[in-house]
Amino acid sequence: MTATKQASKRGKNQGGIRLLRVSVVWTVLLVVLFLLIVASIAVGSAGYSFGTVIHAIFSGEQSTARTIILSLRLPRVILAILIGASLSAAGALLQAVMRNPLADPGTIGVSAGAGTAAITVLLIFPNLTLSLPLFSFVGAALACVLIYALAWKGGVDPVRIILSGVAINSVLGGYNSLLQLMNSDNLSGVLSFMNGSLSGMAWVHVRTMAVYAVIGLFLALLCIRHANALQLGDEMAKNLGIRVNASRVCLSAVSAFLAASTVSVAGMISFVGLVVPHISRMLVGSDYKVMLPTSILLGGATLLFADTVGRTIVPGMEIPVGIVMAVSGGPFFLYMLRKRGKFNGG
Amino acid sequence: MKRKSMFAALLAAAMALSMAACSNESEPSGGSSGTSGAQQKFTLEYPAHMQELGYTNTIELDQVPTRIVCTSTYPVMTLYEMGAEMIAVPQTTVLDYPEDLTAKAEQLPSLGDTFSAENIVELEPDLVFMPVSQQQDYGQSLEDLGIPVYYVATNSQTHNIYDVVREQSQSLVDAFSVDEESTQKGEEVMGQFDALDARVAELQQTCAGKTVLILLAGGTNAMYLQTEDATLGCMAAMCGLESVYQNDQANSMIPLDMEQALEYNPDVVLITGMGTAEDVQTLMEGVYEMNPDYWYSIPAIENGDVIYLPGDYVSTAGINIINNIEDLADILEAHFTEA
Repeated sequence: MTATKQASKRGKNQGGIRLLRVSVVWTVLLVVLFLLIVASIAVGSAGYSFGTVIHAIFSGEQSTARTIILSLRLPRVILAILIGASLSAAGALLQAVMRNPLADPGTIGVSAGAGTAAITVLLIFPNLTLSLPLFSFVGAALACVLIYALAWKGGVDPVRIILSGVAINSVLGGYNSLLQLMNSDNLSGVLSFMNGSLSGMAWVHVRTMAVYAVIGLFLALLCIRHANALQLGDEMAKNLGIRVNASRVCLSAVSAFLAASTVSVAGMISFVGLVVPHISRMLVGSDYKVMLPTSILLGGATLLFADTVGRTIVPGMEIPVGIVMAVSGGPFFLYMLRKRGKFNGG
Repeated sequence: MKRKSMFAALLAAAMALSMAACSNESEPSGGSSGTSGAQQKFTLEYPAHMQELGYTNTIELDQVPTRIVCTSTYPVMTLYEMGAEMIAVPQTTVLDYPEDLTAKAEQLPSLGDTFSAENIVELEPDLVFMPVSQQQDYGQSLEDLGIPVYYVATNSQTHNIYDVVREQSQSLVDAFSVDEESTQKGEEVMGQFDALDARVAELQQTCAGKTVLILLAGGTNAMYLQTEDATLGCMAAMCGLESVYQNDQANSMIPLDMEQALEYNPDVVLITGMGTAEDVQTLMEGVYEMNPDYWYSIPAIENGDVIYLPGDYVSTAGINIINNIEDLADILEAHFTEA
């Protein structure tokens, strides 16, 4: 067998192994997600058996179990999956734009902008609280536009985006702190938003988030080719026929859309967009064709697990999912620091 | 010579007698200060709940203070009603100060718990009332400059807020009752507490056996359950309502577990939040509409046994709590009488 044929055969074998690996990972993720859904619906302040859950959902009889499962747990489970998937996709796209493993939606001002809008409404215009999701979405979008406008100089450079993001985050963070100081007696709503929470979510929130998520995730999947090209560097991407600046702006816009939608519904949830894409890379590699769908599945499962832990670990009390993610994301981040060589996957 | 000596002795005796007559005035009743007027010694002790925290010292001044600065709203109205002379009070949205107070006293701007210590020093106070939370940052510095500082509690882990306010007021009344007029004022101040106790004693019979769920609405998905250790929880307990959540961990407020809330089945729900009672009601009605299957499965909400209260019930300021409790008592009495 000639060297060329041997290399070709090796390539096919590796491709087959990769395909097998991706198939196994996706199958496992889907099974895990299904089991998490079942477990999340069953556990809580009141634990229900699988039979009770099925009966409550399908029997039509009014009962406390039916109210809890259909009005509280099921919308929350679906929302956790949609939000986790959206945040992971947003983080994955941003890491391609920035070519920086530390990039997450907070870098582009989404969290700061949404937080500023939310705090302003909650503390200064409490009569507008019912419109909070709209204002926080607009705040997130405006902050993102501002950062990119400031970073624009004949094009968009990742370093300038990060630096602009640091500056804007700092200014908005100062404003947020000032407002909180001036209204220190009335921070309960602000704390809930800043810590990210799925408590009290209902079907109306699921419908809103579903629309955002379907649109955003569809657009994210359309960006796969561009994300792969951007990872190779500007010159290589141009040689592949990619318009680098336009791609960066588009990917960033999709990422901001996804992240802003999650913040507007559930408040600030950190680490999902940062950590999940890295785990996905470790599992399936850096090719966005497989990494992005993996991130979407894994993000949904991760946030669902975190939310379930948060509402069950302390009886009678709920720990906001944002806190659970922050506490668990930190140690994982340290683990990744120790395994620096594997940042970009196998 | 002998005549001169006798005259000198008589003169000395007369002077001694007149001095004895001048110093032989009756002690004022109540209070722990010396002779009347600005020349009296002034003694201010800490109430029991502060002594338990280690505040066992006593503020002793050569005279009743006339340049009082308050950086906490808690003692302000008690001092005002005692006729104490304040030159500065904190800016606040929790209290509406009387006009004659704002005419005489500067309002100190602050950001949360931070304010300008230089402002305080420039005012040359002879006594400063400060919350315990500011002791580390400001109190110690003022004391090092020789300015007497008296610390007040604005919450307590071991006492309910009403008892804290009452004990605090008693200490201030005892100290500032320096003459007949101020003693009379002190009796009126403490009489308000007695009158309130009598009022709620009647209401307790109306509310006997009734349970209450107390919520703080921080936003559409930010509901907090208040225990009897919280301001509103304490007020409700005084009125005879039993909280559905019995907390043994001294937390005044916890995030509401919505699943567990379905098991409480309270007779009445008290909801407070930012803004007016109407703002709170508007917010909650929007929240109900977001998840009607859930909220209207709570019988009290379905039946309209909900009382919306303004943000004044989230935090209080000293003896203002008496007005809040009286208002709440009126509302509860009307609610349970109509029911």
